[in-house]
Amino acid sequence: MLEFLRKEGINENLIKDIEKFREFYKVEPKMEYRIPKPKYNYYGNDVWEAAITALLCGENLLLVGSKATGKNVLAENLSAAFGRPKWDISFHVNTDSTSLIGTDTFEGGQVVFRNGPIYECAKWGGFGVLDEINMAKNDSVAVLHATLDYRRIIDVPGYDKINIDDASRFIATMNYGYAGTRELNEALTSRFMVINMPNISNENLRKLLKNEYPHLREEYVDQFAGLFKDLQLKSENSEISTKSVDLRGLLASINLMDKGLAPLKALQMGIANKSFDDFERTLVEDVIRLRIADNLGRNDIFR
Amino acid sequence: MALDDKRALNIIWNASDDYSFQPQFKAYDEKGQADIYWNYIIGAVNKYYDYTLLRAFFNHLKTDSQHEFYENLFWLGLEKCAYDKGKKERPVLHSLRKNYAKKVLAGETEAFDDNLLNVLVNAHFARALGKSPRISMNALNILNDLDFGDASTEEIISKMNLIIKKYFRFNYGQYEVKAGKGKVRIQKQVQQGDEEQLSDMDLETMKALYMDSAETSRDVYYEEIRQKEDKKPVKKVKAEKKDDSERLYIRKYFGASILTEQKTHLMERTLCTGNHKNTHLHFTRGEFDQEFENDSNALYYHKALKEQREINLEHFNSNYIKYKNSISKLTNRIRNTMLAYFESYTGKSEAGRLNAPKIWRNVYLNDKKVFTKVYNNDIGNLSVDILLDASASQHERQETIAAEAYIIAEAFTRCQIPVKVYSFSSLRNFTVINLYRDYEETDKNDAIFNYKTTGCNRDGLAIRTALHMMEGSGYFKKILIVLSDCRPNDTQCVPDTGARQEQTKYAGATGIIDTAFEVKKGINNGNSVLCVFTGEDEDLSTAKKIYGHNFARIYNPDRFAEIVGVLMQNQLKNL
Repeated sequence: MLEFLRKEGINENLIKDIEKFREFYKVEPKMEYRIPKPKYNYYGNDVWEAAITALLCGENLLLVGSKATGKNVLAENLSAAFGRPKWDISFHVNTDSTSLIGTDTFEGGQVVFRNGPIYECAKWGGFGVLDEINMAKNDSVAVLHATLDYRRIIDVPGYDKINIDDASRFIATMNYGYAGTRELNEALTSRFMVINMPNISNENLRKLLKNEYPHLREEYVDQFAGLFKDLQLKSENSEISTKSVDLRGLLASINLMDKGLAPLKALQMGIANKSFDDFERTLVEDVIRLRIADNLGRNDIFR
Repeated sequence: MALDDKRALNIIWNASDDYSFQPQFKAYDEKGQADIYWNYIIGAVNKYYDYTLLRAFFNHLKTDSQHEFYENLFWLGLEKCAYDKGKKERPVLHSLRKNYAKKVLAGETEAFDDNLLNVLVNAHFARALGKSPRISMNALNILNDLDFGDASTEEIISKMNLIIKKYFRFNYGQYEVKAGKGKVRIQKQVQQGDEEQLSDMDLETMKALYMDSAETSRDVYYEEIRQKEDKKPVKKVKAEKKDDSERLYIRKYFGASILTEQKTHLMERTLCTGNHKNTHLHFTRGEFDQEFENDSNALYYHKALKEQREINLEHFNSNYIKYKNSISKLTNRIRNTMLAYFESYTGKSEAGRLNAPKIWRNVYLNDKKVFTKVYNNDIGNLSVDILLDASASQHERQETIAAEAYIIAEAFTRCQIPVKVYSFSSLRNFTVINLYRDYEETDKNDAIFNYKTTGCNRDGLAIRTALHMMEGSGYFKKILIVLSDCRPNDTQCVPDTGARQEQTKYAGATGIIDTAFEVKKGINNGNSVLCVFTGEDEDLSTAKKIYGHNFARIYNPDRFAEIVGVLMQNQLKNL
């Protein structure tokens, strides 16, 4: 991961600091399996540098951005770069303190406390990714307040109080204004440094495509990046919803093309059909047809 | 067709990367569907060339009776240019063009009335396929000249001028085409310069303002005479007098006030401040003021109101099935949301029903929460206010707006949520709030059809007033839905700026910023403010500025219930 950061031209001092961090905070061998090996790399130096600096200073991060801005990719990349085990915690409406901190259970005729992911993460000095943090009800997340601020403790009533490992960090992600999300409580927000995740730039998207599909023809790297940009522009102008502006869908479509499915068909599955409104789908299909010819085969696109 | 129109526009915008572009032309295929290739070309021409110049040139062509012929000829030339410029960026154009050319040669596209044009189009696209067409020398020359190559916009225009001069005006009389309505593939849009549009709109507003009150001018005249009579008193008294006479006029026009004079003044003192200083409020139910029983003007207005009610009702009844469907769809949507998100749930508690399997926790862990309790997570008492923009700019869609407001009100009523519906419009310096239905009046949704547009709109003041009234309503959660075209416009100026009246008119940026500010204030105070956008596409950006993402655009009335439903759903979930 650090190699990648060097290649991207991230400030050398920051990389050196990460190395020191890794040197200083060793990972328990039995937790090493939790250190992620990212499938995708996050591109965007500004965001990288901001995130690294905040984590080095011991802050927690809140990544805010719309779909396909790479929130989770960045979170995964960060824990890989810092070499920390990672815990993924998905938030939903019914998330409560027991599912975060832990609950008690019987074991061998005795009542014991079964650690929740936050507890584990705090104990082993991991990186906790709080995914879609604004899906949960605010009062149920309040148990995290002491964990996330300067106190850095978890106090479980009736059991014990533990101090959070110095290497632990929490990275929350949220998509503001998504259906089903709610406003984040100010007390919680103030415990994070917030990064507004930009939409992926054309140049970075091309890098990503080239990296992912080295045998994709240069010409079609441009076309797919252009297609994504066209859709983004259309959605920004409120002509279509964000449903079809789907980077995951685009990448998956290219995978299908690689397997031999007709490109138009693949994009239909990965992008156009994501919108269930007939008219909107027509608009999306028009955008696709202005990038991809209908008689294209696999070999036109891949080398 | 309306959808295809929108689709064509979307292809054009996509090709030009410019979503503010309002094309003069849109292209449809033989089935009346948006043609992807030609619409791309139209958009691409805007992207690669200076369309302001081209627009002017197309307008210049229009002065000729054969402009359709020239326009189509010119588009042939532009097609090649735009294709050449774009083919590197979009390799797909190669196959799109080839497909289109094949269609032309197979005679699948609609033919033109003009023979020469047909020959030229066929030859042009035969060339696109790499064939050399067999046509007369003259036609070939025209075609060759139409190949503008790498020329700039100015050069292209001068080349086209040259073609018209060389082949059509002077030498070749036989090529004169008959003036008539040819089947142009590329349909023309009404030409609208941006600046013209604005002034047109203003004029339109002014016209509509006086359209339905023929007596107004007489009235003004009459009042002027009266004012002259009491010229003597000192300035301040005169101003008050004027207010009184104005209030009388407003009462005559809109109906009796439902608040005492004192209360109205109190409201004015709190609300008519800042940008709205020196304006007044009038609260009415649109009921005829018996005081004016013998006043012909008042009777006239009253009659006009009744007539509009009939029109509104007739529109609703003639679309009865569609609207009824919308109501039940919206009702279901709201009901579902409430069920799904405001379900009660059972949880641990220190009191309630004893949960026997957990008693050990109390003994060993000292955990007092060994009871279960049903938490009623109901929505609390929620109220919905619907504010209708009743300014003259909405004149042409009165029936639709009345129907839409009725649908929303009825849907909430069926879900047992209290709704209050009122409209606003401004005349002279009064902003009139016309109440149709109050929270408890569940049987009065019908009164919404009394909706009638007139005058200007001071959106900021109206929203401020609505929020103020909601504040005192006693409900816990409050939603305000504004049905508006997001075009704040009032001839009354913004006070105390020291500039001339035209510059300080409550319109344009001033109005938008003021309205957006009021909306923001409402949201910050914990209310939800939503907009159902009823206006034209060009004001869409304004709607976004004012309401952020809390607005719905109804581009297809058949989908009204779905679109508003989604908006409501998101709002209810976030309460």
